[in-house]
Amino acid sequence: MRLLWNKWSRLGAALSASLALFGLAGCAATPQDILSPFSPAAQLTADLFHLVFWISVVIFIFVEGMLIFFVFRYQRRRADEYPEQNHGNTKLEITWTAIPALLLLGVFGLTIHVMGQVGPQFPPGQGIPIRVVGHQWWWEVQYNDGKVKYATDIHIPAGQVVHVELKSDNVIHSFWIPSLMGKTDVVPGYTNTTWLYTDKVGSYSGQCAEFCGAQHANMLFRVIVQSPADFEAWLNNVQTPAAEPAPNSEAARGKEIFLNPKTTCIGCHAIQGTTAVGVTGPDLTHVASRTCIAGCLLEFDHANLVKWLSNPQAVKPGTIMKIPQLTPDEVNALVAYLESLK
Amino acid sequence: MAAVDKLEQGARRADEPLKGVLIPEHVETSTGLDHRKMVMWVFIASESIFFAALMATYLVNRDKVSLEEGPGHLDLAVASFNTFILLFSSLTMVLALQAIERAKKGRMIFLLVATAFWGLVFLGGQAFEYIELINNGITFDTNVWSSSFFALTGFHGTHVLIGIIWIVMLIIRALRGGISEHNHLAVELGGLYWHFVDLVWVVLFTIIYLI
Amino acid sequence: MATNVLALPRASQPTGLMSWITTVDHKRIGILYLITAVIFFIVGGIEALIIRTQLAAASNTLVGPNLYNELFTMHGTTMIFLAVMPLNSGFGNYLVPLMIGARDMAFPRLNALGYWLFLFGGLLLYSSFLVGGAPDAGWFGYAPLSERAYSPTHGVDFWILSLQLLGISSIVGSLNFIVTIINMRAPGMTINRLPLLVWGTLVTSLLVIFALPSVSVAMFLLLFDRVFSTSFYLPNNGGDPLLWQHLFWFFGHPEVYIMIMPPFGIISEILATNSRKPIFGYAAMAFAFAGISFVSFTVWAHHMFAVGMSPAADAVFAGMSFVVAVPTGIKIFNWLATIWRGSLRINSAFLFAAGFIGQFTIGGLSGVILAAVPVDWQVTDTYFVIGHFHYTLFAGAVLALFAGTYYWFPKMTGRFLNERLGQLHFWFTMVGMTLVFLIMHYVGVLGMPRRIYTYGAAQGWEVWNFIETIGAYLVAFGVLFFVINIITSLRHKATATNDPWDGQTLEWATSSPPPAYNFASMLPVNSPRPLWDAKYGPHGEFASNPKTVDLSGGGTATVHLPSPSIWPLVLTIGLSIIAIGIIFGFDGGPLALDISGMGMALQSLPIGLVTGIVVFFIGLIGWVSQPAS
Repeated sequence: MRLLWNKWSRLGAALSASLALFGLAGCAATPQDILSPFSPAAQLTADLFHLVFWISVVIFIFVEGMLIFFVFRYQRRRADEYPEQNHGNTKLEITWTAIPALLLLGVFGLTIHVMGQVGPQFPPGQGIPIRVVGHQWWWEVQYNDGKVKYATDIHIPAGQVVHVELKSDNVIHSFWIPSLMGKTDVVPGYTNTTWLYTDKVGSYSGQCAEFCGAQHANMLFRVIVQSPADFEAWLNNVQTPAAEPAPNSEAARGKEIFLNPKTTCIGCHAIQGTTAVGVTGPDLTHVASRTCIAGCLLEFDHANLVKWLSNPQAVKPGTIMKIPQLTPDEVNALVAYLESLK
Repeated sequence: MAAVDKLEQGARRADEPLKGVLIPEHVETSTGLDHRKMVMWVFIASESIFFAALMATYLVNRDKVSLEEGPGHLDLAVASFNTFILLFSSLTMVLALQAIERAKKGRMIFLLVATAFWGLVFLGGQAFEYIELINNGITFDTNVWSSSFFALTGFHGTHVLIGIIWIVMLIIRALRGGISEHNHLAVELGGLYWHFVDLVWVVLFTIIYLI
Repeated sequence: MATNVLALPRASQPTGLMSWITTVDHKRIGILYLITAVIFFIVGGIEALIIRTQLAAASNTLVGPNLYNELFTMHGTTMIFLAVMPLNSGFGNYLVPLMIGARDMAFPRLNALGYWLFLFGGLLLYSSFLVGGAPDAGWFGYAPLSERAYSPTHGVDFWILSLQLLGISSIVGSLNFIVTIINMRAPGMTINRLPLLVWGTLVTSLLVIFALPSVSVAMFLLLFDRVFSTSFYLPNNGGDPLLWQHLFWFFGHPEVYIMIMPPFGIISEILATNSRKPIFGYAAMAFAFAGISFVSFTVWAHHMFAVGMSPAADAVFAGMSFVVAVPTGIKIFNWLATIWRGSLRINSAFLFAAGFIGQFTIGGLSGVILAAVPVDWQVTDTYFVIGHFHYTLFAGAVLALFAGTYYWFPKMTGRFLNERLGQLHFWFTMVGMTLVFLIMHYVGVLGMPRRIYTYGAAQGWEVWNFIETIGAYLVAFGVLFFVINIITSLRHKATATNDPWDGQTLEWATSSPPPAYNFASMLPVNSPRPLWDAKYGPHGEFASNPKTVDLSGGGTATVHLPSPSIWPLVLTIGLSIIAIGIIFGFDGGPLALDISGMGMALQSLPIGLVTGIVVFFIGLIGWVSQPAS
């Protein structure tokens, strides 16, 4: 089975490469391409896809070929043509029932085989537990049984299995990183699990794949795969309370504005080590170590922070972040504070 | 292509067209079964799925609450009485059909009235059960058990009510002379529906009160 | 032509508009279905064009997220429930009695009720745009997103209640088809001699009967959650969001076969006639219908591979999904064998039918790819799925319905559709749909999820989306040619004979358009193609000298025609008022009459609901007291 599978998948890959040459599969690998796998699970799935795809192409060419040939060959030439009245042919009909049935049986067998290796129910061993929570419309990730809360960037170590527990307290979302792992829905009332494993360090984009409301389109995230040492260092950093801004700096003023109930920031956000303990929005304790904000719609940089805080509803219409209009001065101070939260 | 079309029309000679056999004024149905009786059976099949989906919902939610939060307040005695009443009403319905088949119209009307009456008694028992639950603070939106219970029995009760209206319409029709020993399909159809609603209750009784 | 036919006078004989409002003639009802459904098809198409225009460029701002969500919800709901299903009903209504040699449907007034419920259901759905927002939770309205907490406008309420009306419409229509087909066949037309369109309609009707109640219950429960604060699908109070998915897809998967099987029948009729051959492997085709419909009840959870079911459940539903491909394959190969060594008349109807085979095959194959569970985990909820089901519903159902229109238009109107415009329509449709839907598969593989109102330029999807949008406009131009064709052709002289395509089934044995009573006389039926047997002889005896047939007149036939009736419309109005009364009659809505001062236990009275019930009963009493014929 295993041997056969390898042979087929190599054939599939070779054929796909030739397809790419025809320019049909064209275009450089995109961050979310399921045919640019960066994990064994995604690789196996892509192989299965190639295999079934190419079987389909062969059947397709066969059917279209016959169709086009018949349409040209058997056109009516005389008005009184009376073709042979052929009512059927049992042997032929059994043939074209049996051959597809056998082919499908084979595909079914391979499906089961691959399911056993890439299914979210079958993690390939013990691993690090993390919890991913779907919110409207951003992803939260928790480490150490919820003691560390982080958003939009999911850091995992390379070469280790990561067990992912999926939670939602609102609507259904779906957790999907095309280049690493297929989808698992995040269903309120249920605790679904999946797993991630890759040995390739890098950043892989993912996206919510189940329609979840106004900003479903912008519920993005990244899986950042680091070397185990880098991952440890990162995890150690994000476990610490937030950095305290230098006295009288702009950041310190920003902190005051953040903690002022009038700006409503603390209604939703928490910053460990301060009085901000909101739970609706992302925990911002180490926001400056993140690569992106606003459900990963915007990169984390100064200009984007200013844009976002000046008018969240304009950037992401319908977002739950509804704040009073801030003056440019307040925005700058807040941005300085957030940028200090490494 | 156009040339082919023309040729084809030209190829038809101006013979007198074939006429076939004249269709008689009254056409028998292909199966011998009356349309209305057949449609009733198919409709009942469809209704079965409707109740099956509701029962599935009830079964999914049945064990999600404690006895105190709902099922404990049900009254098996009332429900058993109700089951008996409804079964009895099926009997009177059968007898009503038998009566008109034997040309005893007065007897049929009496039995139809009895059936409708037992139907009303059943609804009364159902109302009693509802009031009992509501007095114990269990209403439609209390928990998933109560919602499923009220939805399931409520839809069934609505069917019983429709059945009663149906029977009343049959009685009116009979009184106006619209039903006779030669023309009593309407009673048969009403009976089919009534027995179905009855049968549904037996299943409901089993899954709500017995298992 | 029908000089000798004696039609018995009816109790009343309205004319003009009233004759259409009170009609119980299956042919008129069929035409009403078709016209209304084409209008809704165009509306759904305009929604699709707005969606495609929005997606043509990255980070486009033509429509905002809320409107976008309403648009795709309405597009899906419209195309499924207000376009494809009623188009099937329209063809079925018009053709089934003619094909089985009957004078009408078994229940003419029930037939009218089906149409009015469809029309009012559609109007109810679209009226939501006027009163605070259309439904925005997608055509499969997954709870809890469709719950009040996440979709607070009345849109979803309108969606639920209009789908309930449309559901009743489908159920009564199907009851009628089943009884008509089983009980009103011409003498000799046994069940294994039914034309395949009739077979498809029969099987579809059975699917409706058994599948629809499930979604009807699902929607009632959602309505209770939204209006009466129950928690059937709300997990915080013990409810279960997956209950919705199971109840919905138990209906939802048979639903796709409900939409595609009558078109399978249409294709079979057209290919046989245009090849001058019988359908190849009639028995296998009929069994394939039955097989597909049976298996379709066992595959629903293949829409739910990603919800976290057990591996065993995933495997079983995947296995059944592969099984369903086998009878579908049989159909494709039997269609090919039907045109093999035939005498093919290449016209618009044939082109669309052949195009159907070519394109629908893609939908079938991409379905097999989706049934491979690990692949599904990757491509479900992406544009791959959108591409897949448009290849089954557009390339499948819609192409077949176009083909059917070119084929039966002469029968329905006595006029031909213009060939040149028809072929223009065909080529625009082929090229356009390939650009839209084939590329959708590829964009899905590139990772583009469905139902996103925008995407970033960095994703690399923009160029493909732009090409898709061009394709969508090409399809729209095709439809424009189609509509122009219909309008201009209706102004031409009626030149169609009884049997313009050298047909095989009974509808071609009567005049074009047929008289109100369809047939005065009937042919003996000894095969699935009684007309062909009569013209050419059962074994081709008259092949060199075929006969012509006319069953529309001759002799003195006495015909009972059912009386026109207003009551189906009154019943429908009653049900529509009930629907509006439910939406606005609770929780202090505008139709909740405050009666708290009257000292009763009830605090407010849903007057809309009460009014609707009264109107409904008036209709019911009127209906019952009117003699059926």
